[in-house]
This record gives sequence, C-alpha cells and structure tokens, in this order.
Amino acid sequence: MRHDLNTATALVATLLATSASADTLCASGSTPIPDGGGAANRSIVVATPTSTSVITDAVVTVNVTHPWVGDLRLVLKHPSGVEVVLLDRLGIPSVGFPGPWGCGGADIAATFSDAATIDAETTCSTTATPVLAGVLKPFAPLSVFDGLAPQGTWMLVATDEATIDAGALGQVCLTLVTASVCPGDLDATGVVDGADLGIVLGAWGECVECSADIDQNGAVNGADLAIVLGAWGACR
Amino acid sequence: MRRHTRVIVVRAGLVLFLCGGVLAGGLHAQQPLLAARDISAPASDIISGVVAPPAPFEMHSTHAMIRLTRDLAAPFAVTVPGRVAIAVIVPPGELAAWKVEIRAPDGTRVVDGDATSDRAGRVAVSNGDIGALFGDGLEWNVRRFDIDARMLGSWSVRCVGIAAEAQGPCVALIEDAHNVALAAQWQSFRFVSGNPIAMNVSWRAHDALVLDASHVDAAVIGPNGMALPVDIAAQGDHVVVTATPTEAGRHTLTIQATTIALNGAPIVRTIETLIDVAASGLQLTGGVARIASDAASETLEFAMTGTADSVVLAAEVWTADTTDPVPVCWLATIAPLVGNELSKSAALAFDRRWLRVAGVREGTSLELRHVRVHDRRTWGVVDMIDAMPLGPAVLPPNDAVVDIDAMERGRAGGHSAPMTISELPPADDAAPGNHALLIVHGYCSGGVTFPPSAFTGPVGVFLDINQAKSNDAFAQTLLAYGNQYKSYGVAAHSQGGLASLHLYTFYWSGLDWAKPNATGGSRLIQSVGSPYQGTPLAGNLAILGQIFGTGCGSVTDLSPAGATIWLSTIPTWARQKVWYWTTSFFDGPGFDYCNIVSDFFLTDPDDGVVEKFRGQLPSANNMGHTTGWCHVEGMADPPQCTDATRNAQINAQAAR
Repeated sequence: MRHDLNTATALVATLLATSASADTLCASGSTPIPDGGGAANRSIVVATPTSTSVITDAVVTVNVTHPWVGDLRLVLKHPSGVEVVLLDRLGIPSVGFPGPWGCGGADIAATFSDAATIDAETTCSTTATPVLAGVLKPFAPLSVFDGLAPQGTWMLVATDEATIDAGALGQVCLTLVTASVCPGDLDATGVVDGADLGIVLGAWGECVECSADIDQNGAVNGADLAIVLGAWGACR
Repeated sequence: MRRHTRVIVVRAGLVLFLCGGVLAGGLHAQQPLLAARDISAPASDIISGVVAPPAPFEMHSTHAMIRLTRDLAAPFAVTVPGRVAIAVIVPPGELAAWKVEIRAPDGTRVVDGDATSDRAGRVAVSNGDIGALFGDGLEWNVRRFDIDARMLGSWSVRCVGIAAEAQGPCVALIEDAHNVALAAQWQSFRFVSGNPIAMNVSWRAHDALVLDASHVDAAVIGPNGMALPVDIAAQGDHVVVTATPTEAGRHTLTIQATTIALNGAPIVRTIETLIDVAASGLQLTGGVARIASDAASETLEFAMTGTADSVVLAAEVWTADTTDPVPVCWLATIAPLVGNELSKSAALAFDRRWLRVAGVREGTSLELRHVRVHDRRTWGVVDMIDAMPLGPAVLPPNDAVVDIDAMERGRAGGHSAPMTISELPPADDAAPGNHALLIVHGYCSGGVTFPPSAFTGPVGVFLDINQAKSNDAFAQTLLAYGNQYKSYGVAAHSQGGLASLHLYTFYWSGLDWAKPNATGGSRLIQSVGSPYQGTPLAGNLAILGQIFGTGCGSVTDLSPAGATIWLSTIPTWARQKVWYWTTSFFDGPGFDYCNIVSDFFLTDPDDGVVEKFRGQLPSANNMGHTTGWCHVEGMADPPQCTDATRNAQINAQAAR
C-alpha cells in the first residue's frame, strides 16, 4: 500500500474472472479529504492477476464522514483511466433548496448503482444522517465500465471543492459483475486445459449457479463439455 | 445601494454569479425562485387556536392626537387632580419658531413659551426628538410638558407661530388622568378593495358611558393621500365607522371621539391605525381536486380566480363525522397561482401520514375547514371558505414512517415560489461559505443593533437600512443576504425577529442547515425587542408620517391587527425555534419613559417601541424581561442590543 499525502482516497479491486460472476472487494480505513483543495490524489494500490472476463455491471459503496456533503465530488476510476462521476457537489447548482452551497447534510453511506430508482443528485434532507444512504443512482452511469476488463487498480477519488468543512473517506467497496470472454477458462488461468475439463466433469449433473454450468441451463452436461473442448488452449 | 458581485466557480465549466448572496444570471436579469415549504401542523395547533383564522380584537386608546391649525386650541379636561402629559410636535428646526400655550380653566397660562407657572399645577418641561423611532433623517422636534394638574375644569393647549419659520404643522398629544378609553374593533379582517371596512367604536369607562355618534369624527386616507367618504352611525351601544376603499394599498384610519365630563370639560380620545387593502379578485371558487403525489401524500388543488403570481394558502383537515369530528392537521404554503385566464389554481400538499397520527381509518370522510387565502403582499385574508368536502381518507402505506418534524416542515425542497423583491442588500466582504451568526436589524434601522464584537466566529451583519418591508419581503431579503453563508443562526432585533421566524416558517434557507456550535448551542433565532404581537406605534406613526412625512414608511405587519393576521399562519413548531427577550425603561420616581412621544401610545412596561405584553410570542421560548434598557439609541436608557450579558448568552447558545 502506498500513501500519497496529496491524495484523498483510492481503492483497488482485484478480480478473478469467472463466467458471469460477481465479486465484492473492499478497502477500509479513514483517509482525510483535504479541505477546499481542487485536486485529491491519494491512492491505495492492490495488484491484480490477469483475467479474460469483462465487466457487465459495476456497483460501488462509499462511506464518507463530512459535515457538508455538498462540498464533495466522488469519482470512480477504472484502471485504464476511464472515469465515472458518482456525485458532483450534491445540490449544486440550485436557486432554491438546498441553497447555493449545495446539500448541507452530513455523511455518506450509500451504494451507487445504475439499477437504483433514486437519483443521488436529487437526494438531500435537512434531517437525515447520513444524508446519502441506501442504493442511489450515480451522477453518471456506471455502465460506462461495461465491456472493460476488471483487472488493475481501481480508484475512488473524493474531492472537497469548498473550504470551511472537512471530512474523511471511509470504507469503499466495489462490486463488479463480470462475464467471461473465454467461457471454458473456469479457473481463470488464461488457458482452457485439463483443469477446466476436470471442473466440468466433477460437477456433472443437476447444478444451480455453479461455475461449471457454462451455459447456465441448470445442469452441467454435454453442452458445457463441448464449450470447454471447443475453446481448448490459450484464451485470446 | 452598494452592491457586491462575487464570482464563484462552483463547478468546472460553470460560473455562477452571487449577487448580494443570491444566485442569479447577472444583476437580477431573472428573478431567482424561492424554495417555499409545504408546511403542516398537528391537530393540537388547531385545538389550541394557534393557527385559527385571525379574529379582530378590541384596541384601546387613552390619548388624543390632535393636529392644531394655527392658533386653534385643543381642549382637555381635568376632573380630578392628577398627571397630564402633553407633547407638542413640530417639524425639524421649528421648535423655536413656535410658542406653546397651555391654559388652565381660569385662563392662567401655565405654559407660555419658555415661561411656566405652577399656579394651577406643577409643570416639568422636556425637549427631545423622535428620530430614534424612525432611523436616520427624521428628527421631529418635540416639547413635552408633564403637569401635576390641581385646578379642575377645561384646560387647553395651543401652538402659536412666533416666527416666519413656523410653517407647521403642529401636533399635540394629550394624555390625561381620566380612566376613560376609546375602544375600537374591526368587524372583519378582510380588507379587500371594493369591500367596506367597518370598525365598531365605543367608550370603555367605569361608568356606563355611551358614545354619541355626533361626537365622533373619522378620517380614512387612501394610498394616494385622498380621504375616503366615511359613514358614522350609531348601532346599539356603539358607533360604526364605515368606509369603502376603492384601490389597493395602505390606508390609515383616524377616529376622534369626545365626551363631556361631569364638570363640563371635554374628554377627547383618538385612535390611529393602518391597514393594507388587497386588490380585489383573488378568490376561491369552491372546487378542490385531489391528486396523488405518491403513496404517502397528495396535492390539494384549489380552483381560484385572481391575477396574483402567488398566494398564501391555509386549510384545516378534519374528519367529516357530524357527531364527533376529529381535527387531522393544518396545512399552509406560499403557492404559485397557475393556469390561464379561464382556469387558475393554487395547491396545498397534504401528507397522508397525518391521517395515521390522528387515528383516522381508511375511507373515513374528510373535509377542509377554514380554507383561507391570504394576499401575499399584504398578508391579509382575502377569502375564506368555512368548510369544503374532501372525500374519503386514503391512508399511507403501512411502512410509511411517521416523522413529525419532517412532516411539519414539509418535503425537503418544497416547491418553487416567485421572489417578490427586487432590491437586495449588499453581501459581506468576508467569510463566504461559512457557518455564521447573522445580526439582523429591524424596521427602519440605521443599521446599529448588536455590536458585532460581542460575538465570536463568523458574524454576518445584515444591512438593509431605513427600510419598511412586510415580514415576507424582509424574509426574502434576509434569505438573499444569507445565501452567502452555508448556514446560519440569527441574533435579531425588533422586526428582524419576525422576519427570521417568517423565513424559517415559509422558506428553505441557511437556517435549515444551522448546526450546534462548538459548545453545543443550538438556538436558531434569538431576538430582543421583537413586536411579535405588533405595536400600536405602527398606526400612530403612520398618521404622524402622513402629517410630517417619513423616510421609511409604515409596515402593516407591525400593527397589532397585522401581527395577529400574520401570527395566525405561524405554527408552534416554528415558534419553538425562537428564544426572545423583552425590556423596558427603568421606572423610578417621577415620569419615566423610553421615548418622549411613544410613551403616549404604549402601555407600560415598554421599551419605547414594543410593549412587554405584545412582545410575547406564545409557544416560543420566553427568556425574560429586563428593565433599564430601551429599544434603540437616543432613548432614555441604553439600547437593549448592547446588553453585554445577554449578548454573551446569545453568542454561546447560537446555532450556526
């Protein structure tokens, strides 16, 4: 883990590629968010193995303690540099409620998901703490990550863009749903080989949500065996 | 007006202009919208009458204000030995040009210019001005005579011009020792152009004194300065004074009544008051539509006529049971008036969770009571329907959480309402975006209230000097100023307390974001000398202003009647956010008062502007009454905002 004093926060998620699987990885701690600074550059890096899966859905849970959430901008960065803005100065711009300084509620303990029905940018309450909680739709869609490889260093950047109030970034959890682009590579080694064949044969028969049921028809059978044999060799 | 324009980059690629604290696309190129609350109050506020439709009450006067034309004497009676106070008011710089004569019944000149005689009674003379009541620029000269009158009979006071500078006018204020009051009561608080306004007038005395209509004179002056025709008629044991305003705007009413004491001396009393007449046409047409907003709330859309851009709506929700009706809640808001020439409406939000709080069953018939429309400019009630059927109750889902605080203050964000002010106060130069304590002055203030040095941390000094604004316009101005801060608590003086309470009640603002300070102080609004129930001075000074001219103008919300109407829209939950103090002059031997003139109009104890009893805000936090402090500078005792002990408490307890 490497600390950079000018950085607010980062998270790296390491993912193992499986066929249509979901993994959640969390990075804990409490990292001060510099108050009123324009840039926030602090990261935590975790090395990841290679995989042949691609992202089909991304969900991120963010915990922040901050007395004035309207100061904050949250961005989730893909290892390739692709960014999604989760939250952008909640409540700004506004000519009425919550006022020109954005939402004055405190703290975030929210999960950002494209599937949410409540838009985070319209959620502000003068009474609720944390002011952002539950499952919320991000400022920009997380589907931007769809089709990208999950591996590498993910980073969540929290920026405090106004002075006076300061806070800290707490635990961040990233859940990535992936689908394999090398469906026979059940052990995610980058090669379809005897180990994968063994997984299929070992799970033969009725099976619910098991990784060997590559075509997800509820049974490990000849069709799954054919997929393994057809993809034999190194994944491309 | 000095104006600061500050540019703040709040998001990459987006620049917003903060003009006097308000976000706008330039200097008012477009009026910003306000976030108006959809407020509610529990059934207890209906039962207690806190939000009941305002009812007229009886006003009393024990003084006479008489305009003296050149050499005309104003008579007054002395039937028992006692104190008589007389003040003579002349325009600035004319005091030396006038000679005041006060004659005893035997013709003795008790006062003859600078000479006094104690033959008929001991005389004390004091000079002063009443500029302190009006802020900067108006210092009408006053000479006051306090007489321990011994000689019984008919006395008189006269202004005699003795120099060319005596251009006048000259007004005499007389307060004698007779226990006789002129009582007056509006028949209705509905002041709408084209509709008659009527006031019942009678004597209040130990003996059964009947007011003779032939001894009553009255004048109603409209906003154009013209007198309206007035009808004065006996009706039972009282006299009814009636006039019909023909245009909207501020009207003043003066009534003078005379009775004859047993010794033949005339006893004169006057009442001076003001009302704000609303334009005609703003009416409910009787229809209400229910539109589900979500599973737990609905919108009540009232069909209306009128041309205003927004109105103040209020209504009570009851069960319609004929034998045992149950109050459910009270609803109110500032609502845009939407639609076209053929069909207009304004809406109230009804949070169905109140049905669960009141124990109402699904399908129970509901009705609305006291559905009232207030004109937003005058805050007067322009229309009211006593009862309207609402249909069956639709309960919220079982999992709808009852959160009384959130239900009272309304859904976060409320709805947009048009801003009605155009002039905004200047912003401060320091600490934008901070959490501040705002110092808010009152009506017609020169800006000197609490010393900022009495408070720690970021302090915002609201300055909108020499203004006379309604509580609503004042609140909008305060909101615009306050927007330079993220959040704030308020230390308010005089009308500043009413405006702050109005802001908190009807709009979302930085007050909603105020948080406890470092030592835990969490008071939102702390006020000193605020006339929550009005002050008679509003009417008295309006009349004097018509005679002498005023720099600020008058504010109907500050009159007892106007304050009563306004307070009927302020529920308990909002009042509970106010901590208030009252003060009065130190009452020692002799004649004591805070102000040489306002003493004639106010009931002791008072601070020179606000009487102790009308400074009370029921349901709020009464922090007590202290003596030796007057309303503002220039009065007999130090200004109440300079009490260091209280200011230290305000500082320690203020949310920010």
